Amino acid sequence: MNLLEYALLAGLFYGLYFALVGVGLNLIFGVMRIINLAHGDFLMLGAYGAFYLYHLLGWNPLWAIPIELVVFLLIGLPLYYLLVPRLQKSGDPEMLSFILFFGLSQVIEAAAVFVFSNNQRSIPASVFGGAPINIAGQVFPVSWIVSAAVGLAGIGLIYAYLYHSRPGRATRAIMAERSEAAATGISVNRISALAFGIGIAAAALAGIFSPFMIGAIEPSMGIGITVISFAIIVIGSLGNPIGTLLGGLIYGEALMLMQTYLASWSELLPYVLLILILLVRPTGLLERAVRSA
Amino acid sequence: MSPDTEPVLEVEDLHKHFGGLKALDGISFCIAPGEILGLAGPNGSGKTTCINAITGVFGLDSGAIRFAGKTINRLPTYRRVRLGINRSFQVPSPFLGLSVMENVTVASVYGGNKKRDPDHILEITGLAQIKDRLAGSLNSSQQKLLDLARALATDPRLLLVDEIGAGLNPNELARMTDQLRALAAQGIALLVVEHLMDFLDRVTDRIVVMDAGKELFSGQLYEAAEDPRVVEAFLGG
Amino acid sequence: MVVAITVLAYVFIPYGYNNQFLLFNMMMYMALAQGLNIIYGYTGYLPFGYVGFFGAGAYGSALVIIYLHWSPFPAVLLGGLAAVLVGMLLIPLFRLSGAYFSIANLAAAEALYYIIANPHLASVTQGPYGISLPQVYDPNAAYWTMLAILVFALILSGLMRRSRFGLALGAIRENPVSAEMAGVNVVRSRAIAWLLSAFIAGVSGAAFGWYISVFYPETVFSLSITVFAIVFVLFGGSGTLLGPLVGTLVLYGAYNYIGISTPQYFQLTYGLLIILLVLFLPSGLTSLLRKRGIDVP
Repeated sequence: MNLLEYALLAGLFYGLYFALVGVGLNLIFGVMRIINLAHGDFLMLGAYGAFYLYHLLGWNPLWAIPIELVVFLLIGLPLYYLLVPRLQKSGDPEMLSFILFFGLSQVIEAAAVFVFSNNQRSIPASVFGGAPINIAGQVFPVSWIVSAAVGLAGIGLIYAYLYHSRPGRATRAIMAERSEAAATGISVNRISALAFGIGIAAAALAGIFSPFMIGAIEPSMGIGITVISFAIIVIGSLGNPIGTLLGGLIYGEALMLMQTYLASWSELLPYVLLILILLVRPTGLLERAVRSA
Repeated sequence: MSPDTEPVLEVEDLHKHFGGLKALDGISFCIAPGEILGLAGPNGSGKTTCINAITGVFGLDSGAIRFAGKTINRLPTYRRVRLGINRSFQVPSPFLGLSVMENVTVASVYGGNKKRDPDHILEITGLAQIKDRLAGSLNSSQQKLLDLARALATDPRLLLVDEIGAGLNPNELARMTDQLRALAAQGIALLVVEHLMDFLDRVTDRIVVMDAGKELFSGQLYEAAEDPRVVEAFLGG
Repeated sequence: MVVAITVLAYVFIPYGYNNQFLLFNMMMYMALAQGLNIIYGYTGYLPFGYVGFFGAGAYGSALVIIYLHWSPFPAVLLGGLAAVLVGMLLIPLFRLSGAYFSIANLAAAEALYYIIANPHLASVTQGPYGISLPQVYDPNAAYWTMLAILVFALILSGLMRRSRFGLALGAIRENPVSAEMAGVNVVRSRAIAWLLSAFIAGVSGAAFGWYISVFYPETVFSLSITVFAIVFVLFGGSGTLLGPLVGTLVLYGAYNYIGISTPQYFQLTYGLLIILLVLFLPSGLTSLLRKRGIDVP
């Protein structure tokens, strides 16, 4: 039973981390009804950011957190104004945004190859120092626990933002009913831009810890992570950022159980999970319908 | 009973719930060929749900829908359409990217047993002059007419009309009244869901008032206005 | 007309221009773009995992050649059927709307890739070690087969545009609920378009596998194949016969001019192009002509 306990605990750590991986995608979807297909690519950029801070300046990845938070917020805000309002005026914003952000994903990936080259990069897990930590008789690397803690903190901050701040409350109003929110005098564009920036910054933040939790950093990692994130937020319920926590946990547990008992098929997991959930329970655990006819 | 007065549609004890909400809770009624039945009731009382159930947009929890004597509960929508049931939508829903002519042609090709000439349909609905325009470029009352034209192109025997009067000006409303009456005169049975009491009064022979998925009243409109339960449902709701 | 010009071009160009592989790829992408057009242009569903059919076709035909010693022509057809089979398995995805369909379809293609590339199945699919078909190597025959596939795709797409069936698909694309109220069997019509589209990708994949005769799972399941086809269709104009042809001709030509040595240049250009298209020209090049009142087939 030791193996099972190990898998379940590891799944918990992975789950908390993966909630952070998915939450930005869900926030953007919830507020703008847009699927940011470049989500994984922003995560990749965040990972490179941490890599270079460590590699060139010797900074601990934890220092990358505040820096990237600011940088990616600053990238996200103008990007929103550049792309989103125009899209939302079109006939089919959901589909068109899907295609557009796919284009953006291609641009980022190509640019990343130019700038960072195609070589795989990593950050040694020993940056967090110390021997592995013993929890409930099982031994885990410190990097897992740090990643899980950051994941939990990230979700907690987004929760605090949404439920205990003025712009956060406005954000929830927009999620519930966009036109109503606009009618009550909420500046939909400003609040959405902020949510967009936060969504991208959350992805970048998750990227900082991807070398420890997901694997080597490379320019082409984005699309796979987008699909995984999508699976997570669909499980947790689309458009409900806090539901992502549950989605992440389910994904994390499923992943660790697969890797423990059925390792060679674990790559299939996100894809199969995604298809099954979409077909069986397209609303995730809460309301939002995604079916037609 | 002569064959002519046999109901074309019989709806019996329909039940449907969405989550905790009972949208239909035992409603029953029938319509004879050439009859215009009004369906009234406060918002959320289940009128549109009724139309959706009859056209097969979703399945029922229990109850029976018989069309021309045949139980159609389990038929998919397009089969019901081909049997002779059609509708207009509360929010007009033409094929926006297709021309007016194409909108009607699809329905006449796929919709019925007897092929209806699209040009003729456009003539009687007054859309003939704009048949080459894209449906998306029409105003909303033209789109309502186009919805109606598409329905007529399938040669229906039963037409379910959902809030077709809303948003029409008095002139258009009068024309719509005549149009619906003319359809009934050809033997088409009509179910008219409507908020506008005045419009209902002018087109219907008989009305059913619904509240919370149940029948509250059935009879003549002027009697309904005096029925305390109806008054309460409309004012209290 | 369009079909005739295309055929003549591919019959005679090889005499003056000796890069057969380029011509083959161009035909292949034209067929794929047309196949994608059938499902996206005419029904509005954008299959991000379109390459899954391509890979299924390549593997389906290669496996019957290797294990059952089929000759290439029936094997190519079988590749098409393998794709149709995959397509049938995916029909439930149509319960999903818009972007959810796209992303679920992408997931399905990835899942298929991981199944085929899984080392545990190496005894059947040869897993990550790839396929080699020296026994049937014949690029010329594969070239003509591809041309036949392209002609088939063009005729099919042309028929779609003019037929009752095409009109029904258009109605479904605009509004599935209303299409049902017009008497259209939405589920079946969509499935037919989907399977035809899958078939075209399947036979294209099979012919491609035959032409190059050595390939790996990542060759025939590469996301870039979907991307190319989508961009060609969007650029030329979806829902038309000419659009995907023009899109492929211009962009694939450009790709070969600037992209071969550093594909990233091209990926970059592509990505930018997609963004600009969505923002400024969502109906593609051919819509420019149509705005001037020129009827585009």
